[in-house]
Amino acid sequence: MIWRNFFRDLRHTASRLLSVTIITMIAVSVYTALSGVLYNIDLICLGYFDRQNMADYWITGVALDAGDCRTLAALPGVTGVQSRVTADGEETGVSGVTLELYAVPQNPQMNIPYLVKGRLPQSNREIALSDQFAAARGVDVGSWYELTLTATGERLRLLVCGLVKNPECLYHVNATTPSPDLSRYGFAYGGPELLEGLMGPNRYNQVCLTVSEGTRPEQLRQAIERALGDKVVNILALEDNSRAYFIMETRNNIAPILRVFPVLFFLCAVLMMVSTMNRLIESARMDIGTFKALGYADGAILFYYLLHALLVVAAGFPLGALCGRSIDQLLVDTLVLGSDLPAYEVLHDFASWRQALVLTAVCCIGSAWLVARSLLRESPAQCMRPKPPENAKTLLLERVRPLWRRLGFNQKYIIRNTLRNKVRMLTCIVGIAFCMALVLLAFTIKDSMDYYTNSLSDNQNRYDVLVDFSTGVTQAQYGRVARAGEGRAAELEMTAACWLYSPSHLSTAVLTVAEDTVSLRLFDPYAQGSQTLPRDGLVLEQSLARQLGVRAGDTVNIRFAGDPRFYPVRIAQLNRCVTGVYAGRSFWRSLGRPYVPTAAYLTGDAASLAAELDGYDFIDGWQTRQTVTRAVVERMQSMSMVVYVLILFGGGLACIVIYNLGIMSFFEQIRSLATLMVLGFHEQEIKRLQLSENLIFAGVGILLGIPLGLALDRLIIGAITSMPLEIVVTPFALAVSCALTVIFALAVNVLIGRKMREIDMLGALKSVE
Amino acid sequence: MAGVLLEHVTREYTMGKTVIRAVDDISFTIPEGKYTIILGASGAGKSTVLNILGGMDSPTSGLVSVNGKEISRFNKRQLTEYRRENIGFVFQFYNLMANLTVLENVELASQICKNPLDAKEVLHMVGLGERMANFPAQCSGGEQQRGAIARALAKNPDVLLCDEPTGALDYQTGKAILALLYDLCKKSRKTVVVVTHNGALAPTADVLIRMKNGKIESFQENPSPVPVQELEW
Repeated sequence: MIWRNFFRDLRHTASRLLSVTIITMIAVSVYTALSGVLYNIDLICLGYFDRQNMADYWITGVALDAGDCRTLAALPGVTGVQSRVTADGEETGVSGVTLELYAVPQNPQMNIPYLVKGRLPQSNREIALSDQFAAARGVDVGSWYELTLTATGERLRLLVCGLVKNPECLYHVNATTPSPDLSRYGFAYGGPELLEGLMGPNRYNQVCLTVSEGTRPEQLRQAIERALGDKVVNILALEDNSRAYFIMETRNNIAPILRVFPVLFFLCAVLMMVSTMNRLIESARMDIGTFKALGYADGAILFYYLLHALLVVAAGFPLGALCGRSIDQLLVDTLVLGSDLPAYEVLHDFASWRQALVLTAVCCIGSAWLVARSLLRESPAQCMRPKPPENAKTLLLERVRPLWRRLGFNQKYIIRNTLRNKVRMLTCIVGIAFCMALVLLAFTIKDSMDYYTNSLSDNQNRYDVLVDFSTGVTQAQYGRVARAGEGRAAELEMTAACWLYSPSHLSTAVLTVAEDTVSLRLFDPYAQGSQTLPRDGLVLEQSLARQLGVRAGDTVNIRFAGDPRFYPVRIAQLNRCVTGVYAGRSFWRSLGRPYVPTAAYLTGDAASLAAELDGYDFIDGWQTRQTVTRAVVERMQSMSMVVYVLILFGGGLACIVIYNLGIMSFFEQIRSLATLMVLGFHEQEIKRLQLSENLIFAGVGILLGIPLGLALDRLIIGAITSMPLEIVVTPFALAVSCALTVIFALAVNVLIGRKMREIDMLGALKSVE
Repeated sequence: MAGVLLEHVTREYTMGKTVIRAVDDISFTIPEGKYTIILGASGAGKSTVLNILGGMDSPTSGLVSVNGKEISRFNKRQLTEYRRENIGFVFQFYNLMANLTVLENVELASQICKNPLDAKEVLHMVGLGERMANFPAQCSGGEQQRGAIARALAKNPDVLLCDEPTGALDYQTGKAILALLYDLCKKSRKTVVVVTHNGALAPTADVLIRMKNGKIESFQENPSPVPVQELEW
């Protein structure tokens, strides 16, 4: 019979249980979805890297040989070495279609190409081509492909023996193709002798290394440098190889968001679960007393009430997990969009499911257990007596007599009701503040990302055309480009790999030598007007400075490939927006280093510039500003999807939380409302009294939610170190967040207003509780 | 006509497929200013009659008129207006607002009426002049019921309806409350209808209506009612 009573009980508590089930579902969805994103991205990317035995380091050098490989293999921590020759090529007869060629051993053991069709090359006349490039160029296994080596102009006619994917290049970009264009840029694998003509027999320009876990990058770099000396041009770690690490980089960028948001959602859900279960069981105290009086064992009664919580977990968890799985798929698909990966499957992250289940169970069943336990400790007689009302006290506000006297009766009623029930007031305010903070946080992150994207495309890049020079361009040649077409302004830029030595650390970085005053491409996307580079030192990336343990004003030693000298240079400025190191042209010249620009930024009509630039053989390519920034915008858009999902769920959670709080408050006051109805209050008057209380909570919650949201925003933006995001709080975001919360509160008021019509005056007044 | 008139009133409740007839074709008249007791066992239909008179429920069929107003034809809004202006209700469990002082509870009712009585005066009248600043939790059961009566009276209603007003009180306090209701009826010449299952109270009524199984068992007018104070039960 007790169970029949249980099921009938459920009908009365259905709306409250349903709302807490939905809250649980949302929290579980967000938790499992966002944790699942990290899990699946790791699985897809790192799993792919593992299967293809991805290198941890790429050492680019001059005339590297087998002896160097043996030396490297003997270095502490190195677990594998593979030499190869890499070169750039161009499809013969087609301008702007470029290829990256790798001459690798016949059975490569590292950076193993992922075979899509056919086989890997077995002779010098065969190549395996990137599958999507081949498809875009209309080439298949068995076709002949003609290409020209950029460095020597040598023409090669090769049989396509296989179609592959390159694990080193998940994101098909290079200097001339900043946004993936698979019809214009691809790669090809050939046998070890394919590029012998370029370097000579048994000579390589790149050695790839795998290292054991725990190998310290700095020590390894120093060891490599000591071992190979001047032969080293550059050491690139996997984490710095943006083409390979692109997805992982995006993952790391959003990781703080993915970690913080589920916790916030869960905290909010926990608050709701605890307060709902508390009130639910507290309101059943007389039933508990009756059960005890009838002789039911405490365990049976405890189980009876825990079953309510168990139902919430049983319904909320699987629904949330399934919903989370779909969101997970959507987010993972969006994040890897544009990258060249083998087919992947988004898997259930059972670890996060377990965590979510434990958290949900602990919060729901735990809170129910605590409340029921404390009630069970009371005697049946105590339980059956209605809970004595709290001693009413005069409010502080009432002591301010002139003010209190001026208030109308309804205002007094509302203030008393609002302030007397402190638990309800706190739960409501904290719940709404949390929701407001979540919605605001999502909007501000979105705004920060938009601001960064807009700053890149509208502020940082003010040129019309970016020109990439071929290696070793002469002064006369770059002078011609600077005067090209109808160009109104031109700025040159040079990049070079370098080593930075602080007293305790070593790091590799890209040094960019810009004009002394830059205005066509600023190094700080948020700067206004033009930017002048310091004449007495470098501008260093903030995170790099942290890595090196240096501050502005310190001196570091800088060294360049092929030059054994160390140049002591002063760090004039730290800037979190620059990538690597920036130096002005005058400062660079003061070091006595040669100035050979690698790129030029031009303004002017792109069409007329194009006509002239296409005629120069000393440039690798050119792109318009729109093409360059599109890539960034595309990457930001994939991250924005995460934020959109969070906005949606934050809003959903806010709505349910406000509903839950409203409905609980309604049930608590049902007797008072019924009394007001009997006294002859009209429905609208009762609604005004009851609902203005909800609106007051919403108002205070919103006010508290703003600083909470901004504090969380600061925390998350600060945690995203790989992107120089600014904290942007637009009045629009504030207004929309407030408006959404108010709309939710009003919508809930309408719903509760409808519920008021269902109040059974007689029933509500007959029972004691 | 002034007073209360019920003609062939029936009230049925449908619960699933079962139809329960709580009030079955009853008719009676209570003249204005009479102290009336509706007596009956549990389930006799007395509270249903009271609720219909109070505008908290409507009959399924029949005519109900209170001081010339045919309330059985009223819609929801008119019933609210009727409860607001014409009816004072006293419940078994007082139903005072916990967050309002006794005085404020009375003002809660008086502020919405057209011709309310002065809240403080009414509280003095019911003997709560010293306790008006207290909250319900700080008052005894009897004091709370006095507060509830004061709240009902402050509206200056035509009819005062009391549903088991002494049900939650001890003997002495219950007696005092009934005496108060009787005195108010006589002094203010308002119609007071008290619903109770306590047959010992029957001699105190001007009009006694006995109910059984939803029907009127007997209707008696008592020309010489016994004062409550003289009664023992």
